[in-house]
Amino acid sequence: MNEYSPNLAVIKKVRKETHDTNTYTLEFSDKKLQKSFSPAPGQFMMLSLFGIGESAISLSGTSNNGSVTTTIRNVGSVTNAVLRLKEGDFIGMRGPYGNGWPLERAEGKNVLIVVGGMGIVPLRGVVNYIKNNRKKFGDLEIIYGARTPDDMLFRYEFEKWKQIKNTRLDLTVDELPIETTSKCKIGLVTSCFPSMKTHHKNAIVLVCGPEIMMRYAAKCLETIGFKDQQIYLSLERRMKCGIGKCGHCQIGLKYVCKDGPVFNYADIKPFIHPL
Amino acid sequence: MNSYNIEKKDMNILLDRFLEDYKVFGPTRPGADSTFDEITSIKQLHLDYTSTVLPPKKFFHPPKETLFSFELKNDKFTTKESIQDKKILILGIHPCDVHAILKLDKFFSTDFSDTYYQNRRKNTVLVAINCVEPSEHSFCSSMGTGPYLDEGYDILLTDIGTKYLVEIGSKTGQKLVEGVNLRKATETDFHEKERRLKLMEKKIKKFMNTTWLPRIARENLDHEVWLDLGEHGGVDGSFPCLSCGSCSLVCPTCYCYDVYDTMDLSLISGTRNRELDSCQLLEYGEVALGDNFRRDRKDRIRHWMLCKFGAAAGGKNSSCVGCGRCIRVCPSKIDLTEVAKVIRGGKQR
Amino acid sequence: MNEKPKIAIFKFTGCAGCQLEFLHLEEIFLDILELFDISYWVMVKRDNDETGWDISLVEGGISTPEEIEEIKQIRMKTKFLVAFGDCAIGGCIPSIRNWTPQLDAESQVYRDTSVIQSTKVFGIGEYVKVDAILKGCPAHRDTIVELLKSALLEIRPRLRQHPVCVECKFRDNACLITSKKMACMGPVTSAGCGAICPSLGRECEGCFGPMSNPNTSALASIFKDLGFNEKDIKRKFRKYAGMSPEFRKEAGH
Repeated sequence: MNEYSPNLAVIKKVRKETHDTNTYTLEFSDKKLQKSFSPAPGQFMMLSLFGIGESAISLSGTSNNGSVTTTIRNVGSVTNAVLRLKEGDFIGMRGPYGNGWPLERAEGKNVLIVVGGMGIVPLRGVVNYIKNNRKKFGDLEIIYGARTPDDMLFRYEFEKWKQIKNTRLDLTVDELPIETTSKCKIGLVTSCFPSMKTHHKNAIVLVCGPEIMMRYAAKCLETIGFKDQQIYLSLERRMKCGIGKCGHCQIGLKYVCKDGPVFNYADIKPFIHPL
Repeated sequence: MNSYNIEKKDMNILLDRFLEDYKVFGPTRPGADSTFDEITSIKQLHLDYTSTVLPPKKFFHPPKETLFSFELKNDKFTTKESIQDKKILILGIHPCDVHAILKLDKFFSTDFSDTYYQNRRKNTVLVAINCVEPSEHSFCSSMGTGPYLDEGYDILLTDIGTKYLVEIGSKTGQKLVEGVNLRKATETDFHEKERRLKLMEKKIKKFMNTTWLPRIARENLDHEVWLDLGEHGGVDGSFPCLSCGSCSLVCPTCYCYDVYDTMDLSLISGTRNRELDSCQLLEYGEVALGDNFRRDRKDRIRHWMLCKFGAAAGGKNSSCVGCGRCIRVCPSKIDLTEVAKVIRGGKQR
Repeated sequence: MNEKPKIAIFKFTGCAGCQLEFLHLEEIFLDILELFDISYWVMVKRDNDETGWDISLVEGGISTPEEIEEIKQIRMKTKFLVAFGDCAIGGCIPSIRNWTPQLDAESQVYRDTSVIQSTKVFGIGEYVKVDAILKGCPAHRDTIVELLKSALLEIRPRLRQHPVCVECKFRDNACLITSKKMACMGPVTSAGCGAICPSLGRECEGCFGPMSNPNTSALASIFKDLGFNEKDIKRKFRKYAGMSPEFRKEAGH
């Protein structure tokens, strides 16, 4: 089998999230492939737009019938072209790749999710997984920071998230428009840490967002008693192959695509704090 | 496996046999700037070369290649893979380059198999030649990859004066020499091989101490040598790095590539291609929204050296084989072996 | 498809070589006309439409007050403005005269300089916002096609900024600096030409201008080490892109 060859997938649904971000529901055209397809939260796909290129994208959810959703923001050639697609259009897709979040290790523990901007995308699946397997996990706390309230993704699900038993959702933004009715706090995600309920004892932290945000979030968590081994980060690199061959996503002795994208903070600490 | 000998003047007989079944490529110039090109007559062949510009990697992982073509039909794209299944024979590969190919074989087959590489590789016959004249930049003996070979070849030649010793390393190799009137190798031929290879090893003037090297490299991420190479005056008589990428492009174990699409002017069909890339180039570390993970020159040169020292994600599969090409090609005269000495705690001159 | 995008091609202070390069797209020229409406091109057309354009390719640098006015007009009527070739990017060869006082330069050509109205030569980016650049003297035809195609697909063109050395290695060329001791500008010069000169045994002259993040001072020291004098080295950096921030220091500022 040729791992580089994308499979055709059809766009089943498009949902507008913000002015530059949409959520797409995708299904492989090949029914057999579709049936055997079950990506784990935190894994990624290589999305192809023929003539434009291929790009690694996170999945924002899976459904029972095997269709997946991905949430894409316009940041480059491929993602820009994706935003022009409509329901019924075809794209190329291969994967899933990468390791995904350490859900098994999180079982029996309190889960703290710290996300910034698009970082919420690969963690939406984790929230849903915990919702569906509530007994397996301790308390859930989600700290989500975005640029403005209008840039927040999955707003329509926040109420549902809050109703998950023993769950706390804390939202913060960089700026609030003057005429807003939003009750969001202003500040970085780290500014939510003092009022955080999760204690470092028996907890696991899942972090995703811009690298600079993750760097500071991890540092702050360290100062309030969290051990490096408790913290997991999902990294972003511009991958060309997704299968550990093109070299672009190397970080120290690891490939983000093959050994990650989710890493234990202890393993990659020297590489995300530039010397 | 069997061994034979052949008079140098009769090499055309062997070449003609190869040409019956294969497109043959070999070194076409003497000296260190030779190139592996197509050979159709013995006159073009220069087995006495010391090194080539590009390593034989170019036959399996070419600088540019098309992965597949695509076409839009009724709103759907159809793809057509372009798989190369031309049978080729590479004649006159040095031991270091054979070792590099063995590393790439491993790299492109572990975890995920790279169809394109594997296809080319399995259709290739390797006829290696032991080195009897090292280039001034070679340090293969330090890396355990030369100057003589004991694995990875289909046929192995050794210059033993007026003759070549011909050793067979695989069934394919054996089949190739059947029907060619070769004499069985004698004890004297092997003694001569031993003698010449010992002599050869003495001619190598460059060394690199590889004991604990990956670990030493990893523990010296903040060594001043990286800043010296990147921005200051260089190391041991070298100039600062130009970030030209030459070292990695001529490296026989560097594998990094870029993938991109080209659309033809019809805007309904095109190709997906890959092209060798280099970690020395600024664009290599770019991610969305203009961020870059290796913006500084020192980070880029450090990354490459770490990779060659076996301290990057490619591990042993992308580490150095001591062919010396990067040293020869560097306009700034940067020498990997000198850098290794410095991070080991050696004094800079 | 809707109406074809309108293209205009203009020339300022330059040699028309970039326009010729466009004309040299002979085998695909008709395909391009299928996709675009070349509505303004004085060099090849009698009737030119001046109402406004989707893409303007501007060749040549700006060297007179009238040209400053004109480029501003073009900018106003253009959606996507391309600096077409080195002259439009940074002045290129005509900008060599910037290194001598204006009066000296003018007196070398004109007996009476009192009627000459000319300025130092700069790229169009000195006066107007530029949306894309096509490097080269002249710009390479492949990059022209890449840019036009990308405009239709609304994506970023793949115009790599890496050095000529990369293309040179792709062609299995021996390095002219290390093997022939020639003063090759390849290690600081942007690729895009396909390493034509080095492939023919001639050193790179630097006609595609600076690559991304070039280490010019290191190359200048290498040239010195090869035995070239400072004047020669300066000239090398002045020739095609002396005005560029990347080369300016080695070019003599």
